[in-house]
Amino acid sequence: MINKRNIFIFLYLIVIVMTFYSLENHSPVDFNKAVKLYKENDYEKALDIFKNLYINHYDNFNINYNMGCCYFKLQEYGRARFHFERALKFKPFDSDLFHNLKATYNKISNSPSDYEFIIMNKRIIYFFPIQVLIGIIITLFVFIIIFAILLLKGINFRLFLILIAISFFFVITFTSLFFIQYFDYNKKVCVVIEDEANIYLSPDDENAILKSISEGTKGKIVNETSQYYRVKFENNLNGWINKEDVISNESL
Amino acid sequence: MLAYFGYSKEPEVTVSISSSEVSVNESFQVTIEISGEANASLSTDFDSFDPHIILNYSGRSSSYVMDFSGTTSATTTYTLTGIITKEGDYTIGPFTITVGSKKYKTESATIKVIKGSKSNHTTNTTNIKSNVYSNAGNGMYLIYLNTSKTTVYENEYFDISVDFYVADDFQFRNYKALKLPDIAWIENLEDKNKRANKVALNGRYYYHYQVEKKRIYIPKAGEYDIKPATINFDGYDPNSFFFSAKPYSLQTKSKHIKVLPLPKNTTGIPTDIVGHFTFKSKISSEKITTQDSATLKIELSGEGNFQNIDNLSYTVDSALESYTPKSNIITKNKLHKTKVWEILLIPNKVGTYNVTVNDFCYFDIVKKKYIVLKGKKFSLTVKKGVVKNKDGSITILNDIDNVTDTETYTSIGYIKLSKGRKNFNVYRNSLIVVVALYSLLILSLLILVLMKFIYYFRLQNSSVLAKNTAFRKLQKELNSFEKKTRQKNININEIVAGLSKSIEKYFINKFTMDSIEFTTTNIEPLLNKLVKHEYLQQVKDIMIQLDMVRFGGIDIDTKKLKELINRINSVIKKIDLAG
Repeated sequence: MINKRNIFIFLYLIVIVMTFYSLENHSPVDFNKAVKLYKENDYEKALDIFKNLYINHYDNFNINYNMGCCYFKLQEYGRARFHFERALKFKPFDSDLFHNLKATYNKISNSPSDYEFIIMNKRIIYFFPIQVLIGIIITLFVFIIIFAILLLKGINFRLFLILIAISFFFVITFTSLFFIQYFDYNKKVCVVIEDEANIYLSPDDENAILKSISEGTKGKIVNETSQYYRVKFENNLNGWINKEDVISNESL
Repeated sequence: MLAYFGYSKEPEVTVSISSSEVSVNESFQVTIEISGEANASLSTDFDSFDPHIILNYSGRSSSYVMDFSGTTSATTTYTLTGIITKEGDYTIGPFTITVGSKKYKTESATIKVIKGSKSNHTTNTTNIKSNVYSNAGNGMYLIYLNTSKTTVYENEYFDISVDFYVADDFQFRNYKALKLPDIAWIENLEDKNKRANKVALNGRYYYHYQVEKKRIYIPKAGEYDIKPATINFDGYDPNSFFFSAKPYSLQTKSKHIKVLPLPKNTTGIPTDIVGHFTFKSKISSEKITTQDSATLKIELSGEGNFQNIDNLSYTVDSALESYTPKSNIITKNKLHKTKVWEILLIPNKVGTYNVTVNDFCYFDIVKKKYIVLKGKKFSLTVKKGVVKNKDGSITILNDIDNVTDTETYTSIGYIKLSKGRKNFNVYRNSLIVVVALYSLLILSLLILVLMKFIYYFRLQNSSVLAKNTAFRKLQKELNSFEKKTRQKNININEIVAGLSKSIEKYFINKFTMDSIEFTTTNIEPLLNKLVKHEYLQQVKDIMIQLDMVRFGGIDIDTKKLKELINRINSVIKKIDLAG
């Protein structure tokens, strides 16, 4: 009886979890049009359709990848980098994406191999897709419940205590991994999209310019005003940059 | 003399020929135009030209034109008709123009004369039957629908043209083109830059306009009609007294085309290609290194249904990477075409590889049979590549793995062809799930702890309750035993056993002891810490007495039983009061 009940609870939780993950839309007309436009080298129009899909909740691997390709063809390498690295969060082991990222890094930097650590980093963080991670956590929780019940019943107290401890250990580990993914996914980052962008001492373009940086440089947003971001860049440079010179999660 | 525009007073002289290529004895027209002068005269001696060139005056006209500034300028036009009696390349001109006392010379024009009637011009045909042409204005205007063939095979080409012959002035209004079969593949052959040329038909000179010319391919066997074309124009009315204009509408005859199915193909190579072709292939280099690439070039030339030929068949060793061939069509004179395929071959490793261009089969319209053009086999040898270093040494490369990232990663791959799933804040929802799970776990633990506490608390309370009510319960039981002693049929053993159990129960509840059975030997060690010694001895005596009745076989009467009950009551009362 108890086993049946547990199975029922487990299945019910799975159904609840899966309702958070949407099903595929069954009207791909616009997308096919965009693919056709891309084949005809009309990248701008194809990009408009992809952007529209992105805004309509298609923030996934395929759309980000395709937007990156369009921007690459339009020689906007900063935006291409932003979208390819965003796509990396969904499928970090995709070989096409790996190739495209390397091509983009070649365009924005003289030493593209320095950026390989970004790909490795994302592959470690996103090794488990989010759905798999949540599934593992839920499963481990169910095991903990089952072991606890059996423990309370007094059946082989020591064994189930050890099993509970092990399960807890893995739950904590996977939960930590989940939070690492969560914070990385929601991290506010930006990439420079202008050929040359200035970094200022304060959020005012009449103030002193600390440095000029080139297209494709990425940074972490620390603070913001209405028109400026305070950014910490890859080369440990801290300063304010005009929002129009960068692309960020928010600007999308 | 150079032609120029503007307000200069010098005349502008241009010379033009109706066609740059004619047949022997085919007539052509030379037009000399002098702009800016109404009184210019042509003073050229035609005898100074090549003796094979025969030129005659056709006419002279003058006109006045006002330009945008209001300045009026005059133009004189001389028209000459000529024939050339021998094939070759000839120069006509320069012509000398006299204006007053000044002389001007035009540039020369070149013309090519070919043998027979191979040119694209309509040749002199004096034996044309009037029922083949549609005519108007007493034969002043003729229209003719010409087809090169009326019986063809599937996909075999045939040419069709609409020729309009004009003996006098006309003003074009509109043209309704030929109605061709819907399934036909049509190639336009009209030369829009071509001027009308002069031809002689039935003893009269006409200007010949080729209104339409097409090459048609019909892919399916059957019989088809080509509906006639119609030309509407205003022309000279020969019956009018004042040479007035009259609207005319001329329609060609229609044509019936029969398309036959292709004969059975016994070559073993399926094909739907019809025409006449030549075929060649070559490879850029048969010996390359791992750094290099080779190009396989396949060329197909001839006349036929190129539109049905996408790719030619070739086989490449699996160790070679071949890239989608790019193909170009080079057209010579709209009829003869050459299609070229270039396939890029890139080796992955050292070795010798086969590249085979397969046979090409088509149906020859001249020989009326299937022809197989043999393909070619190439052997591509790939050796180790070398790189010259700055210090003069060389590095031998084994495979393309040694190519640097910068060289490999220059362009991106193709886009993804599916849309993927919607992403309704996956991470936020996942966070809710995780938090919910942990909350559930913590809540469960709290509930568990709470329940344990409550149970323990209740357990504690029930012990106190039992302790406080122990003597009262005992008294009740003693009263019930006493009542039983007044009954007629009393069971002394039952009452004695019940008394033992009641005493045990009292001590268990009073002192929260584990349930045990008192015996004469264990009662003292069990109770000596809980009960005073004097009471303990009394309890022991009572238990001994009870055991003797139960197990010792000693009888006890009702009176003594009652006394025993009273004694138990008073001893226990004293123990209970002592606490």
